Formats: sequence, structure tokens, C-alpha cells
Amino acid sequence: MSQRRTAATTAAIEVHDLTVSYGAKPVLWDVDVLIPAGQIVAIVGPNGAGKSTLLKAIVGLVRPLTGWIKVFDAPFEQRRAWVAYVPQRESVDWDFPTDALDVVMMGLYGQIGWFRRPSREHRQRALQCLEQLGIAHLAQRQISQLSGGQQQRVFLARALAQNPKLYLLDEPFAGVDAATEDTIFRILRQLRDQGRTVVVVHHDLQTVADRFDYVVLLNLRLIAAGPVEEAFTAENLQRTYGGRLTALAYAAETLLRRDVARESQR
Amino acid sequence: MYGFIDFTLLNVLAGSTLLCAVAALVGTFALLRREALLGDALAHAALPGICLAYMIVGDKSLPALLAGALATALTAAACHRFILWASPLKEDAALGISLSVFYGSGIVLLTKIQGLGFGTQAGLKSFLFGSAATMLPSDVKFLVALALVVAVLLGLFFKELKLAIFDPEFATTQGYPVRMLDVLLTMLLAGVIVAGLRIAGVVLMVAATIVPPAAARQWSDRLGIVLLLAALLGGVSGALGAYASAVSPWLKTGPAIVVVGSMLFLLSVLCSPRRGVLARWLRERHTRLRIEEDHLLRDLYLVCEERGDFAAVVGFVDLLGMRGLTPGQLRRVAHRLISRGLLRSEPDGLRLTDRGIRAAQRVVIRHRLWETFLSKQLNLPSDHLHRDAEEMEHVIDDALLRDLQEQLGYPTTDPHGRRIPKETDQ
Ligand SMILES: Nc1ncnc2c1ncn2[C@@H]1O[C@H](COP(=O)(O)OP(=O)(O)OP(=O)(O)O)[C@@H](O)[C@H]1O
Ligand SMILES: [Mg+2]
Repeated sequence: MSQRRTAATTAAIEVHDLTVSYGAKPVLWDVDVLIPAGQIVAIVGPNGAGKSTLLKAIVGLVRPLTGWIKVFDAPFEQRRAWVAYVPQRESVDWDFPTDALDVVMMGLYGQIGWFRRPSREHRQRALQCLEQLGIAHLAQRQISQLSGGQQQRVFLARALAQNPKLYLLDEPFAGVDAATEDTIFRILRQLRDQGRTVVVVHHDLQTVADRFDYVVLLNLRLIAAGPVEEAFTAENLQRTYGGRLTALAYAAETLLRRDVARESQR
Repeated sequence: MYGFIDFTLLNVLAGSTLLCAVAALVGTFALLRREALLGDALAHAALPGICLAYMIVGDKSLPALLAGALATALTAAACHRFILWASPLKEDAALGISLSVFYGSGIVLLTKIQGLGFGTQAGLKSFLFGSAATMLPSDVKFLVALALVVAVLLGLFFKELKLAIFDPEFATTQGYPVRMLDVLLTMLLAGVIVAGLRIAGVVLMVAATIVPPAAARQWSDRLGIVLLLAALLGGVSGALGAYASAVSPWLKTGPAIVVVGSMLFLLSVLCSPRRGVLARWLRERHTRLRIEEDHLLRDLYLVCEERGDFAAVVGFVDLLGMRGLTPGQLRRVAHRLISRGLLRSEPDGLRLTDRGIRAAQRVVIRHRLWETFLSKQLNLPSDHLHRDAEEMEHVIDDALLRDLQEQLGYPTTDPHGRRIPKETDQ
């Protein structure tokens, strides 16, 4: 595992010796990883690999059996205000009586404080965030009347509203069309260029090489982590996905294309 | 009639209204947490508490009985949460277990009280089944205080409660005490239900926490408004129910309130503007009628186009043949168009009026543009175009039409070589 680039930058997340289990059987085993700040980081692995669990452990939603996690060099509890966590879309009841703007405003509650009502500025700020994701026109729409991709964007807008240093996004591209994916990646790159860290649980192996700086390959254990050029190799993918041929075929194709592209650049 | 508006009735009216309004408020949160039946379990779990308090204190002192009821109701809620946490059971099974175990032990205690010769258990039973007619001024004062406490707490924590119910995981990561907010809501629910039991009885209290919130949810998609409406509908059913039972002695207050509430619920399900059954039916009907009308206009246009004369009279037989309408259907559609001034009825057929020609053009333009779009942009074979355009012609609005025209470079013919009319053509 290469630490060349991470040595220079500070770590956004430091996971040490982490083991998590829901019942008898651990779903994360002895995971040790440093996620560098200021990069777009992909967490990849097959279904049930423990990717969501890793994010949940970072934000304290599941308690580790052993090990510890630090966020910007401190326990998460001291860094809440710096972190925006976007869960998988299915985790909430979209029939709840509220509209898109209101959900985005929830990202500002920390700033607004207990017992106080959101002000006009807060609404304005929430609307801006929706605008960045191109769905300002849906601000007043009841959330169950949004499509899956639009709901995903509302969640992202809420994360933007929080104005954090670290974004933890659990499959933000599930059910999102290609054009929207491009828009979102453009926003993520802007965030990175402002020095923020973006961690994305990602399933589309084809886009990892082009769109991410750093990759964490996970399957129960940490398989590999490092800059994409170094860690995202066919061998590591083979170890991560085991016998899952389709996923491998995809990845092999991307790697091939990348090599060809490199050749032709020379 | 005014003879009935005496002091006792005012008391009962005020008490029922307040009780049902607060019950609706706390019930709305239970409904949104998908735990509408939690109130049911809490209400039944009050019984063992009442019996225990009676056995310990030895008389029917009100504070003791209330405290006992609240204690076992909350214990049942805690058991419910524990079952959910410790077992793979879902809400419904967990609630069923808590409810039946607590209510069952309450029945056992009740029998025991009777057997031990503690005297009559009748007073205890009325605690469960309620008697609104005996509401005292002190009861009303207590309800006013309860309503104030509930309203103030819900108002203060409105934003945080909303967040904690909608997205508890997110709320947790933000450092909100989600567990405490959950406990707060459960305590309020238990408090209101226990306070209402003696007045209204188990069944009414359960109904009062579920029915008005469910009705209110039909009318609005904003939490604040749903809450206010639920309180309003609850209050109205409380007041109307109490009044109805006062003027007709055979009607008991509790059931009367439930009946009024249910009628309000039914009304909401049928008539609310967006989610209502009636509104949905009307919307669908409106769309269906429009589609029928558009089709007839286009059919007439096509025949006229072929004959080169848009003022031509088109025979009924020709029109019937075009899409297999029955004469009755054709007559009904034609009638609607005639009454809108788009068609004229002639002895041997139908004729488009000037306005009718323009309306028909609108449909034809959309149909042919859409076919052009499909064949140009999506490369669909020409025999696949018609069926799709048949649906799209009704939903393309003016803005989309302009976009289509622009993108396609204002085409003048469609993929079948037919002319695409201009809006101004005659
Ligand atoms: N609440 C839970 N209780 C028990 N087991 C769980 C729970 N959540 C997840 N698991 C198990 O833990 C393992 C890891 O789950 P996790 O959700 O972290 O996977 P993932 O990598 O995010 O998968 P996916 O790609 O499907 O989202 C899985 O085997 C899953 O069955
Ligand atoms: Mg997952």
C-alpha cells in the first residue's frame, strides 16, 4: 500500500484496527486505512463488503468492536460540524410531509440552533444549494413526488448546505442519469479544489480510474488503498471481487482503455 | 334548544374538544413514526397500572391511579423498544406482544381484586371505558394545562422532532439526542392517553390519536399544517361528538366522537384536493375526455385534409370507421365539442368551425412534430412512430412545442411526407 501522496497531505480520516460486527460474524475485519484530505476518494467492493458499515462507523452510527477512528485528528464527536454524511437513499421515509427545500434546510439546523426558526437567509442558502444541483424549480415539491435521482440530489444539496470539510456519500449515483452524474462530479471536483475531502461509496468500476484521485478497495478486510494509478490494479480488483466475473470484466475493460489511452499519449 | 347549553354541557364540550385536539397532536407524530398503534398498546397497558395502584393504595384516589396507569404504559413502551432492539421482530409483532402481555396481566389483576373482596371493581372499569358525561371543572382545568404543556413542547422542539423522525441517522450524526426526542414523544403520547382514559375510554383515545392525524395528512404535505389541521379536526370531532351525545341521550360521548371523527376522515379521503379519491377520479376523467376530443378533432382534420376542404361535412360513417367508436361514444364526444363551439352538427355529418379547425391543427402539429422528432432523433422506424405520438400529442405544452420546432429546424413535413400545418393556417 503506497503512502507517498498521503505522507505529504494530512489525513482526513484515520481508521485503525477497526472491527465491526452486527451479530456474531464480523462485517469489517481489522481495517487499517488512512484517507488523505483534499481528494476525491472512492470506496469500492462487492455488495455486502461493508462499505456502508465503514461510513457508519466513521460517523458513529455503529459502534466498533475494536479499534478507533479519527476524523481530522480527533474523535468524530468533536468533528461533527465538519462532516456531512449522506446515507443511501432508501434509509428514510420519502412519504414524510415535507418538501425538498425543507429537507435541504435540515443541513442548516446545526447552524440555526435549538428552538429557533430558519430565517430568510437560511431559506436563501438552501435554495442556492438546490440551484447548484439544478433542481431549484423543485424546491416546493413534496419529496415523494421526486424521482429517485432527484431525491438523491436533494440529499446532496443538504450536504452542501452543511458546508463541511468532509463529505461521506453512500452510493450517491445510484439511480442517477449520466448527465446528472457529470453535474455532481463537477461539483465534487469544485469542492476538492477548495480543499475539501469527498469520500464516495461507488459501484461503477468503469468511472473510478477517470474520476477519483484515491481508491479504497474493501471486502470484509481492507484489500488495498492508495492513489488510483497505484491501487486500482487488476490484481487488487481480482482480490476484492473474487470470482465475480462480470465486475471484473468491466474493470479489465477500463484498465485496458486506460493503458491504450496512455500508449497513445506517448 | 338552549336549555341544553348549560354548565355541565359546556364543561363536557370544552373537555372533549381539548382532549381530542391534544390527542391528535401527539398522534400525528406517532403516525409519522409509523407507530400509529403505539397508542393502542399504551392505552391497554394502563390497566395493570390502575389495578396495582388500587391494590397498593387501597382506594380510588385519582392521582394514584393515574400514576399507576402512566407507569405501566411507559413500561410497555420500553418493552416494545426492547423487543425491537433485541429481536428481529418488526413493529407490529412487537406492539402485539407488549399490548397483550400488559392487558392480559391487567385482566388477571382485575379478577384478583374482585376475588379478594376489595369491593366493587366498577370504578376501575369506568377508568378504562370512560364516561365523558361526568367531566368535572377540575378535569377541564387539568386538560387545559396538559394541552398547554404539549403545545409548548411540540412548538419548542418542532424542528428537531421533524429532523429526528424524518432522518434519525442524519440527526444522530449531527449530534441530536434522537433517543431523548423519541422518549419525549412517547411520554407525551402516554401522558395524553392516560389522562384521557377515564374521560373517553380506551377505544376513543386510540381513535383520537389515529383518525384526525390520518385525515389531516390527506389535506397537506407540510408537517406544520398537518399538525394544526389534525388538532382542528380532532377538536371539531370532540366538540360535535360531545354535543350530539348531549342532545340525544341514547348516544354515548365516546362513540359519538369516534363516529364524527370517522366521518371527517371519510370526507378527507374522498374530497381532499390532491390525494382525494374524488379529485383523482376527476383528473383522470378530464384527461380521458380531452384525449377523446383531440382524437375526434384530428380524425376530422385528416378527412378534410384528404378532401382538400376544411369546411367539408364529414359523414358519421366515415368517423365511426376511423377508430372503431360506437355511435353512442361518437355522439357524446361530438356533443361536447359542439357545446364548446368547435364543431357544428349538419344533417348528414359533422363540420369543423373555424375555431375547431385551429384546435384540430394544434393536435395535428403536435402529433406530426413528435413523429418527426422520434424518427430524426431516436431513429425509430416509421411504423413505430404513430402509437407513441398518439399519446404525446396530448401532453406537449406550448413551451415544449417551441423547443421541438426549434430543435427540428421548423420542419414542414412529417416522416410520412404529410404536411405539418402552421398555427395560423386556415
Ligand atoms: N443492520 C444490520 N444488521 C445486521 N447485519 C447487517 C446490518 N447492516 C448490514 N449488515 C450486514 O453487514 C454486511 C455489510 O453490509 P454493508 O451495508 O456495509 O455492505 P455494503 O458494502 O454497503 O453493500 P452494498 O453494496 O450492498 O450497499 C452485509 O453482510 C450485511 O448483510
Ligand atoms: Mg451499502
